[in-house]
Amino acid sequence: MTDKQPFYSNPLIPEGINTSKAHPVKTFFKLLVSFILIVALTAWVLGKSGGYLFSLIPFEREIELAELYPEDLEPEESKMQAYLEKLVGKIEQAMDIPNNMPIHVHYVNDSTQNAFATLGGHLFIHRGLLNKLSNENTITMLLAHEVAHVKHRDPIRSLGQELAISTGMALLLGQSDIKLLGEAGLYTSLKFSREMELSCDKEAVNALVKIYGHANGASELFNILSTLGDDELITKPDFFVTHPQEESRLGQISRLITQKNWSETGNTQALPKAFRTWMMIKE
Amino acid sequence: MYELFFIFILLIISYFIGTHREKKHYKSLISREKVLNSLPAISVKTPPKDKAYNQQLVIGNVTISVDYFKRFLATLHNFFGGRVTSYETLLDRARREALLRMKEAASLEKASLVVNVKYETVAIYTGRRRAIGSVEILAYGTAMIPLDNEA
Repeated sequence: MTDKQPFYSNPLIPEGINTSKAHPVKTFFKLLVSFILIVALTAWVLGKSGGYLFSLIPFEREIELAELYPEDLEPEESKMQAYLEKLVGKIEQAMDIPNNMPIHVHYVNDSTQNAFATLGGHLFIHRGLLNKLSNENTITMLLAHEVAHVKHRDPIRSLGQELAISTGMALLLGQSDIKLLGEAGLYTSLKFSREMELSCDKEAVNALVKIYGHANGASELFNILSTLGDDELITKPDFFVTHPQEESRLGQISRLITQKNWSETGNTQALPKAFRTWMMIKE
Repeated sequence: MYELFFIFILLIISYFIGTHREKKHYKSLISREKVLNSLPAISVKTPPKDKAYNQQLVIGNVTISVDYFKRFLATLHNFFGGRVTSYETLLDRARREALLRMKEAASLEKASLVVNVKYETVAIYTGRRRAIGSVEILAYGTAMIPLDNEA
């Protein structure tokens, strides 16, 4: 048979001519590292420029952006809010907050252990965190930190960063999940960078010293904050946390206090007697 | 961020499983190709006219999927351009397997030759963003079965 059709035959194909000899793991790491570098660099540039552009928005416009927060407080809760407002008033003076930058503090009666500053100069202080603070100085330190965020225009800068990064990434990666200003609205806590947090800590302790003449209460706040973070630290490994760890924030404050020779042992201002009543703990 | 760990573990597992299965498949391909090398499969359209043949359609069909690691690597290749090396072995294996299956079908029919061999390739899209998950390759041709064999 074969002698009648000798021109039909299949040679054995040499191995490896149709495939690449490059090691897949090597290729993988080469590509992945370059990809991560490109994405990180793009995000960094976009974040910086977005933050800068948004910081140029006048505060008046920012107020318009943030609608009025619906206030629905019990009479006792209003007293708590008035107390917080009084403290914020002192802080505004100490920090030289300009008149066109009104700051509104809101008492939120729930067990969340949080406090944050957001667009339009609104501060939200949750009962859960307030309940942990034992004197007025610590509360002032907390409020001063949030006021400093408003003074530094951190909420709008952070919004600009997130908007620029998510738009850029959507274009780069071909995804379209740009819902930054979704239903959650503007009253959510925005993520602030490490530098923003550290510079607000400095500003806050400065204000604290201006108001009380000493820095007692500053360290206490960070000690309390570090106990709150316990649960989070278990679920999130250190290097993923964008918020600076409390130790390093505490370290920075301690250094600053030693540098400026501030006293940390001054008398702390006790909380008003009716403070617990004002909290209106609903369980 | 925790998803990253999960993805990384999946990548490692799928890399080892995928590589193992690929090696095994290549081993089997090489040994079976040697056995079936005596049965030529060619793309010539005109059948030999030296004697009388029964002619019959023979097909070989295979669907192979890439592992998670290769799919991930292909996404990176898509970003940078260039050879999508992680899909090359997939297609190579699929073509050879399909041709082998076709030849096996032809050898069952006692064919001495398969002419007019062609391939059809279909990418089966799966998952998010229409990433290619698996390919189906169909090899088909006309088996030439010598009549004197049947006598």
